[in-house]
Amino acid sequence: MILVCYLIVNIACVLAFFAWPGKRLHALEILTYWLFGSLLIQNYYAFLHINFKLIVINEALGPALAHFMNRTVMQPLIVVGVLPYYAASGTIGRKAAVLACCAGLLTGLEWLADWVGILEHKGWDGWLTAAFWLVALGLTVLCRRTFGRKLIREVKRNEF
Amino acid sequence: MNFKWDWNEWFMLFTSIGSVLAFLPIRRYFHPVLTCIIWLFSLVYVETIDFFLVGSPFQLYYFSDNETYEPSAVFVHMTQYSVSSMWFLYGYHKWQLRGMKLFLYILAWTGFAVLYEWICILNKVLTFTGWKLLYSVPTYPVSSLLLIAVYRLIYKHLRSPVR
Repeated sequence: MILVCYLIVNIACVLAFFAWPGKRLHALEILTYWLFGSLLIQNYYAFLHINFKLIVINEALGPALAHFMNRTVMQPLIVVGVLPYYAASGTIGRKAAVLACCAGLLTGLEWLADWVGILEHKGWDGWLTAAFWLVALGLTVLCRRTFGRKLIREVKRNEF
Repeated sequence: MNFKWDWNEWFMLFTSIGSVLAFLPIRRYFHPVLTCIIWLFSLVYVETIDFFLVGSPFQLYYFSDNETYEPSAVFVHMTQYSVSSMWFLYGYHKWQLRGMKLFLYILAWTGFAVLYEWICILNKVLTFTGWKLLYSVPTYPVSSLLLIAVYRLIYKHLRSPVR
């Protein structure tokens, strides 16, 4: 049941991401930031789950697969999805508010997963989750600033 | 963590340095953006599969000689897989492989990958707790085809306009 619910949510996230109106990212930007976000998220869970046992993923196949989908599809897509809004925000205050809202959403989703039994936080507090998401979002913004500029310059050079 | 530096860590270090050196001759062959994305893709792909099979509920193998996610494993992930991907794509692009030639090329790489995985098992880079070397055999052709698909996607979009 949990697996089916999360499957629907993940598919909805993918559809919403590609159908969402507004400023769009280049296809290679989406791919790169999605990979980068996924890398950060999976390492976060891998270290906390395998090494420090601060997050315990449910042993049952359904919840484990649901968590796999979340960390490879939904969570990285949310991270990528916020980037155009961050870039479009004019002031530093607005940019900070966008990142804080997104980190809040991702923190809420992680603790919702705890509540429905996909994973269990053992000594890993909510503020630490929020801090991780803020850092992950900050690093993805930094990735866009460096890689994104290089990519756009190269792509424009290749246009004919 | 129960991290101890012994032979398998030295093996991982030497082979990873060797991989980085092996990348140097082809470092300028591809577009830097393509190199960057392929490198990232290979890293994420292998980490995703490893975390899926190493973590709950499967726990089919683990890296190195203890069950924790060791820094040396991260080093291997960051170097060896990505460099192998770049060399694979170098041959694919340079010789414009299609059809039977591509099939044989993937077969040769699968043979090399399985042989290298076996050497890794002997040197305790990988410890199987349910996985078998035989299970790895079909994963390499699938990964090769996926890598080619991603490479072609990147190549195509390198020329698509920025909106």
